[in-house]
Amino acid sequence: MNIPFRVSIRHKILIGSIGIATIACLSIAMLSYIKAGSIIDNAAEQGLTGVTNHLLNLCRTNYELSQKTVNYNLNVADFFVKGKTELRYNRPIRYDAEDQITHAKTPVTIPTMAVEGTFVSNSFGLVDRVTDMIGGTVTIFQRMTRPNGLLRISTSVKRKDGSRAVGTYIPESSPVYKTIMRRETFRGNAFVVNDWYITAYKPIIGAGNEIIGTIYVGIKQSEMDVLRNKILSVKHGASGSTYVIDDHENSRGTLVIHSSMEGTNILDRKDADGVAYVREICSRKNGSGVYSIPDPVSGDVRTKMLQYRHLPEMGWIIVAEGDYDEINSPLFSLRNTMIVVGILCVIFIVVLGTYFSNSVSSVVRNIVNRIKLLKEGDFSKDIPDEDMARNDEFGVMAHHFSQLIQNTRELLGKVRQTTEVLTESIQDLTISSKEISSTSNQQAAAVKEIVSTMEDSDSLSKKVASRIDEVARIANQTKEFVEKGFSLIKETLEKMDDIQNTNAENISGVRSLGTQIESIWEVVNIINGIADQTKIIAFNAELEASAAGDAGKNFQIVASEVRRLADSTVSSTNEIRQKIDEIQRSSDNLVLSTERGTERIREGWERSTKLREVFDEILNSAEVSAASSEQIVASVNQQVSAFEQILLTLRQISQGIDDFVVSTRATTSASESLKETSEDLKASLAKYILS
Amino acid sequence: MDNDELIAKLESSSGEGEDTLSVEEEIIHKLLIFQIDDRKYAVYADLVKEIVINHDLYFIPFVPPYITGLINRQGQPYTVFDLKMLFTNERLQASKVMIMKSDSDFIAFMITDVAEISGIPSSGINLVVSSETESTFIGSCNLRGEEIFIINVQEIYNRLANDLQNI
Amino acid sequence: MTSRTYKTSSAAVKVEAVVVTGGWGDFLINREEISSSIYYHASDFSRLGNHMFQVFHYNGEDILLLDFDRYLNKYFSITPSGKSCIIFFFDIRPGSPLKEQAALFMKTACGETALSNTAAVKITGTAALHHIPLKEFHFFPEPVRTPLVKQGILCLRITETAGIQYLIDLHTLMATQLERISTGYGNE
Repeated sequence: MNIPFRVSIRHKILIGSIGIATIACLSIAMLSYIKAGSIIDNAAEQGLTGVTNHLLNLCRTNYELSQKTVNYNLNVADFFVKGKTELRYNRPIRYDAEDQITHAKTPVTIPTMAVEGTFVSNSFGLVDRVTDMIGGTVTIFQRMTRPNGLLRISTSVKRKDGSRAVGTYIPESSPVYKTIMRRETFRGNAFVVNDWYITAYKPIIGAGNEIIGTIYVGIKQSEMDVLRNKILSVKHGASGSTYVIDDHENSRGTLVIHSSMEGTNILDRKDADGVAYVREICSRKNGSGVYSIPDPVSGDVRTKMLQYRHLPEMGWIIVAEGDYDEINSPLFSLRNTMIVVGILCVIFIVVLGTYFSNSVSSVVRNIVNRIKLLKEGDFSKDIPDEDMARNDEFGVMAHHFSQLIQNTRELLGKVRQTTEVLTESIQDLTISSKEISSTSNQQAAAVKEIVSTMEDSDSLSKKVASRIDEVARIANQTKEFVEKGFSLIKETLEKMDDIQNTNAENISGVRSLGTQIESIWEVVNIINGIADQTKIIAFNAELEASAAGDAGKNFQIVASEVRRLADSTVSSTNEIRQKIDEIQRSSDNLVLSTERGTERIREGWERSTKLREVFDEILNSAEVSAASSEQIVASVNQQVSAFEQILLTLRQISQGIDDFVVSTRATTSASESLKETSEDLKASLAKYILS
Repeated sequence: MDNDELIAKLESSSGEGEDTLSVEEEIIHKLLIFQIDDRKYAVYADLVKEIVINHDLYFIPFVPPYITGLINRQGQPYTVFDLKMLFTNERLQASKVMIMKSDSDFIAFMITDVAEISGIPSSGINLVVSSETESTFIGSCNLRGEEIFIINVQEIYNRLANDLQNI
Repeated sequence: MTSRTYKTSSAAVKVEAVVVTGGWGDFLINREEISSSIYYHASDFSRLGNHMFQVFHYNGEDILLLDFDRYLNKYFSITPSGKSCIIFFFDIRPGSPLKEQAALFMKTACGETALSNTAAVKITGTAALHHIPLKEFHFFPEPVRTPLVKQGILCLRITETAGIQYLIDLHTLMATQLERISTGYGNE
């Protein structure tokens, strides 16, 4: 077979592995980079949202707390003026009243206001005192007409030049004025003189229940230091920052809280692309965006991610700013790491692929070489050991292939040996068959001789059979005698049983006699007790008689005799006791000896039982002897017929040997032809190289 | 023994008594012979009131161990002595009690059995001669070859009285 | 025994006596001697200490109590058992030896100086009031009479049904026992 271009297994493995590894590495790297980018973006946005939300909540809480403070302050300030304020019409005072919105000035003359008899118009003692107590700012307004408004007549608020901001008034267009005129308290943000304040205004009611003025308290929004520091301290990342932009109509875009540029209006500031991003923030109020903002100091353009939230209560927009490059720095670091790791992976795969392809191709090459040798009939070369020692499928393949070579080699060797042995055997066979032929002839003559001898034996065995018949008859007679003896033994055993039962009855009789004797005991004891009592009575009588002296002499004799009688009764009962004792002993002995008799009877019974067992065995033996004799008769008869059968068979054997002699000759000629065939086989095997 | 024999014996006995007294004029002491376990003792029969059998015995505290308790004889309590305990420091198991005659000291003795009332002449009694204290026995007599001690009832009573003073 | 302890009637002289019966025999106490009595379940007294004399807290008073069961056990070898027990209270006669002995005991036992005039005796068994003709009582025969009277066992009565009954004088009995304790025999 002619193959014009062939790519080896080694090169195929090498190219394939490098290709797959490179594609896999690139795909993983791309996917990871894209995914990580989106995760980081999300995380940064969430971080900034968190910051702004946090600050929003902080400001809201602070605002509410400030309002509470203002409420408190208002109550304090009101305490000083409520019911203590009056207008002194006899002391009018003139003001150039200035509209605090339009700044238009109008000359007005109004009565002087006094609190607890002290003038407060253009006098600041009261407001300063209250300011010292509660902090913030305090102002007393006096109501004026033509134009309608609330005129500041005493205040702790100072202008930028340090002068007291009296003479300005809140025009009737202001929601403050409107609320006061409704006799209600105004609360909320208000622009006071030159700044925004968290404020509260409460009407001052005069003696005639008319509104004569207003008491005001306020806290400057931007002067809440704690809140300011808190806002400035919260930032996202190392170069991130937070600040607050004013969103009130007149001061929109002014930085209310900022680390360095507080008070600067940045409404028209633009990014690198020319977008007025602050204006965009103020118009959108809430949202986020990415802007390329030039640094105001160095002019370096940095990409910033901005997140902003509107706080309508205070008119503020809280902005959190993060540096885009800083946020994405982990992503860039990841990209660089991936490139390095990818290159290292490719190098590793090339080295590994080379090694692997070499390892695979070497064993295949060795096997191909061996197959070529086998094709030429050379079974002497084995597969190299290192190929077989491999722990993979190639190792197994090499091992099995080597086994195949060895097995074939062994098989061929064995076939070669067998052929040689076979050739020798066939030669021997030829010689043997010739020898058998001559022996067979001799055997035929011998068998004929045996046949004639067997014919003599047959007549002898017939005589033995008739003798054995006589023996069997005698054995049967013996069996009958033994059976008679056995029935006699059985009768004896039955008699023994009767004796045993009678004996048991005797024992129970003797025992009941013992019980009867015991009841006699009790009677004797009673008699004895009576005798004892009698004896004592007699004794006492004797004593009495003895005490009576001669008069009782005869009575004493009678009593003494009665005592003796009782004594003799006692001694008689003692004799009876002895007799009973003897009877009881005899009865006990009787029981004992009867029990001994019982024991002997039991022994006799056991012996008879054993005798019966022995006779049983003799009977069995006699039966067996009779049966055996009959079997011997049958066996001898069978033997006689067997002899006849043997004789017949021997005659057939003699004929068989004659036939065998003929067939031996045929075998001899067949073995000679087999010898020629085996020599041909030997020549064919000689061409294989086995070692 | 029938009645005739008994009468004959009575007649002969009365004749003999008179003869003996008239000839020798020796005082005959009537002794009551009793047993404590197998051992025989005697007391003057005229000191004995009666013998009782199987009587209930009641416990009394604060007395020496040889006092086994009280018996009630027709409403009169008697202090019962255990002589075996007194002599050998072992308790006697017996059912008979010998009650002594007395107008004031009601005492009795536990005994195993009574044997007989026997007349012993003064010469037959060997009195104990004691120099120091009164003895438990007055003396002894020989009855059919057996030496029998005669109990000194008064002394036993005295001993109890003496022992009780120490309680 | 003196006439003071007996309530007599005009016809036949009879003694009003409390008969305490347990499983062990009978004891008689002169009714006049006892001021009051209470029954308890025997288990209520299981917590009582195992001494013949105890201090019994009753009605806010610390009262000297004789555990008669222990007395019986000690001198009569009797162990009373029963489900109920009775406590007799009696007034200690002024000037009696018991007064002195009781004061000594209470002082040693609980350091009390103001002695209660009441003493008590606890007996396991049941009690009944009987009127017994004086003639049914017998003195113990001499010489055992004197020591027994000294111990507070005055005389005895022997009946057909109940056997022997001992008439006791609680004052003397307790006083002699307390004296034994004070002379070193111990409150067993």
